[in-house]
Amino acid sequence: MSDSLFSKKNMKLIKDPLNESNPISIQVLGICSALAITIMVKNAFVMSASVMFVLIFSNVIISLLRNYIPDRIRIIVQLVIVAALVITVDQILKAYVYDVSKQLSVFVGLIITNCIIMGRLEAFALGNKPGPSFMDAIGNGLGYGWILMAVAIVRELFGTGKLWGLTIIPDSFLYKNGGFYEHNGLMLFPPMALICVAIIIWIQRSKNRNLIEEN
Amino acid sequence: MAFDKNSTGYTIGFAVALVAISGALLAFLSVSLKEAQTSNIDNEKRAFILSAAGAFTMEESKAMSKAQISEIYETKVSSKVIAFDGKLVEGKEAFDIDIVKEFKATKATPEQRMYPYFEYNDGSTVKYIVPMAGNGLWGPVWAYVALENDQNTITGIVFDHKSETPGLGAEITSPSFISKFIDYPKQIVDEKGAYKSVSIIKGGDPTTKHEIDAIAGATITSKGVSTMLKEAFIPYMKYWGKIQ
Repeated sequence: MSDSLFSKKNMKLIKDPLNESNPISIQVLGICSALAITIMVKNAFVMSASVMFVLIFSNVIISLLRNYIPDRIRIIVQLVIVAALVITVDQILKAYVYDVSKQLSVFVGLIITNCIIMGRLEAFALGNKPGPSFMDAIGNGLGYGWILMAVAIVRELFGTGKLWGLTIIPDSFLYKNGGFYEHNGLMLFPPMALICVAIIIWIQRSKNRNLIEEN
Repeated sequence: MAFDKNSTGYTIGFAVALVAISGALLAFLSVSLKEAQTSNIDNEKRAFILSAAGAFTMEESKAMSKAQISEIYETKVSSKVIAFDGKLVEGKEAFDIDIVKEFKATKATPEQRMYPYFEYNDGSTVKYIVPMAGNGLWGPVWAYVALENDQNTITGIVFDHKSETPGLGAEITSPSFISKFIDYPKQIVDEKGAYKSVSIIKGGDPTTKHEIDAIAGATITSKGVSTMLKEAFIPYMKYWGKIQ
């Protein structure tokens, strides 16, 4: 490999998914989990970290094995590796951050079906060396993560007046305590996550008009 | 390449090796983390029982070490298991009974279940902690209810749930919902000795001994919790001789 890990080409693999080829806002993958676990910032963070962990390891492992995986069973091989990694994450969360694992409940298991992971394995890791695959995984993990965090910040702040479980909007502001403010309960429902993601997509495409698809 | 990676033999061999390796790794992981996981679950259960009894709040318990919680538990809590007809069951460890599993077990009718309870004694007061489980909207809900030494008046309660909607059903764990049980004392059996328990009803009168106002927007969770409270005390009240 003549390129170093941090060559321009490889850095592009990290930067692109943050914006121009973002897995959620541009490729519209992994939307389910973006709806489900963005009610609290803490959950969104742990989820992003978990997806990133699974993505990095599966991308690198698949890339290392790429010349040995029989073509006919490549999808199921990818699934086995992803599933094994997801179970690893789930077990570790249960052992060390029990509270968080309780809140994420079924969604950690559902990382297996997160299209971003299978998508990167099929599209990138099977055809590239481990170094670039590693960078690609970090890029896509961060691209997924920042959208999740952005949506979670909006939803937790306006839905419950908290961030990372800490009260930001004091209870004394609340209407029931004689104030003027009311939390927006709608923020806590999945449709609001969809609307938040849509707003991000809107801002992104109006800033970068190249991203707008032609009909 | 020296070998044909698409031959049938190689494909089968690859699949077998992959599954064997990942299976072995996961088995190893599961065994080595088992202890940490069970200790988390047990610790949470002890914290639930003690905070229902009023030893500390759930928030405070998060800052405490497992050893601290376990020590308070060992010195102050004893337990018993009873059957539905109110008879004592010998040789069962109350702490080992998973109340949610007990409730969900498909074959178990109320008569077949086992009913553990915990006695909290800090030297000056005795409290009786009754665990219970029911169905919420998305999954099980459960609670630990502490009764005063009259075995009738609720003094403390801790709710938990698997996956109720945050901001709506999940509000059952909030201090404001719990205080509805404490601000005006709630009783299980009324003055005439009739079994009433506590109902959660929309527009329920919070000042009475057997009613609580439901959570707005969480009808199904409220109903589930109400049903759970309605049924859960029957065996215990039989055991304590409050009802027939």
